[in-house]
Amino acid sequence: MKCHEAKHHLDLFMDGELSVPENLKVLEHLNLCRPCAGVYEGEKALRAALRSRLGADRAPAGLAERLAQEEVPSVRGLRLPTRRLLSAAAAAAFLLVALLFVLTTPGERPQAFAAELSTKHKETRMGFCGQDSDDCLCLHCCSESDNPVGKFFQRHVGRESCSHDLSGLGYKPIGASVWRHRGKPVCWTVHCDNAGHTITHGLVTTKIALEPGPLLVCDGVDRPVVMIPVEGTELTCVFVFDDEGEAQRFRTSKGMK
Amino acid sequence: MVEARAEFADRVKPHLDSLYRTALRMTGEGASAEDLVQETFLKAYRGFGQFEPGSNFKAWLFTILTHSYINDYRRRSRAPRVTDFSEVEPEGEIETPHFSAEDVERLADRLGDPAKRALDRLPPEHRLVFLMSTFEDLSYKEISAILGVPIGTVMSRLFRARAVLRRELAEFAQQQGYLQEKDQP
Repeated sequence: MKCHEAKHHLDLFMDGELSVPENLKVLEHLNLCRPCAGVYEGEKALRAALRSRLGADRAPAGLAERLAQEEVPSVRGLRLPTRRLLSAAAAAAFLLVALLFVLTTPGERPQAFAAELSTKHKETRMGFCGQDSDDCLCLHCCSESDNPVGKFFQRHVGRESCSHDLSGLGYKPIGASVWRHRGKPVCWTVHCDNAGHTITHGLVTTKIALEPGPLLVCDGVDRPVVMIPVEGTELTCVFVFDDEGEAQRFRTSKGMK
Repeated sequence: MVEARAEFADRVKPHLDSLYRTALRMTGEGASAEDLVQETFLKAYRGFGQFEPGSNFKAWLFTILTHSYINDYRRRSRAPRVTDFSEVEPEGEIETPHFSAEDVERLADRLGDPAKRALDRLPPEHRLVFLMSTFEDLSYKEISAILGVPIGTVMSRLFRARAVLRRELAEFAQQQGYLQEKDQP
């Protein structure tokens, strides 16, 4: 083996990724060649130094114990840090905008519709918190304790949106909002769980252009979508999940396949 | 249920330091790292049914961690300036400086901060590969499976990350007068 070959193989050698015969060849060369052995010793020392300085951090004391404890989610004292909540809600709002964009029927002008929704989205995107206003309900801030989301929608659209309860899955609502598109209300709520999963749940009153069980691609990530018609109406409830595992848990809880 | 969770925590515990320090180097601060580890833990706990007994549990946890990071944290993390490889590596294969063991010994105590800065400036995909290989002893094959990229991609990311790191450390060492400019052969 020549020096340049040995140097070329050095990283693989040190990472333990060479085959046995190649490994022996490098070893043999390092035994015979002083300059290459020097490079090897230097690299070994550098790795050891990096390991002791950057690779030696330990998890904070008590983290394992905290993970082991079952958490009891509560809406008011939602355990999620605020910044996480905000970004989860912002992400969810973005999802809904994207979703409604997709759902827009061909007869509508998607660009105009999306622009309208983007404006609405910007108004409410700060994750509700501190934005408890007439058309935006922040569950962290509101004082109503008895079915606040239902009352909010009742007040705005004359009905309680839908009765899908996600608390059995560990999700709690963090906010709700409503706006009108072409005179028809768009109701939506965002639910979070303690792990930061988000379910964007919209009651869509425009005609649905998607087949059941599609995936929505947002930010390069596949988002499973589940749609449930509201019995006795033409409305459809649309749920967007973070991943297929969460969507499946939801389907199972609803007795869906 | 509580017991099952506690049992699962015991199973994860030996890997907690690894998960945390990788999360720390990726998110840049302790609270976010803890959040990311917690999210990883909960996803693993819920999805444990999908884990194939006998396969590598640590690699499985890292798969969840990296996916959570890529899907979530990365989008909103403070974005440090990312090293532009076209700027660092002009053309073709680069000759990277190597330190002697004596150089490293002189430098060792001051190496932490510049190394962290250099790592922070690497694109996240390169940094992840570097961390998993250098500090967590995961094999190229395991990293390839974790990130869902070919082994060749793992290798090229790793070698580029190391080349950039060596180069930046050499620059630092020269600025500080710890390393004499060497005549390149």
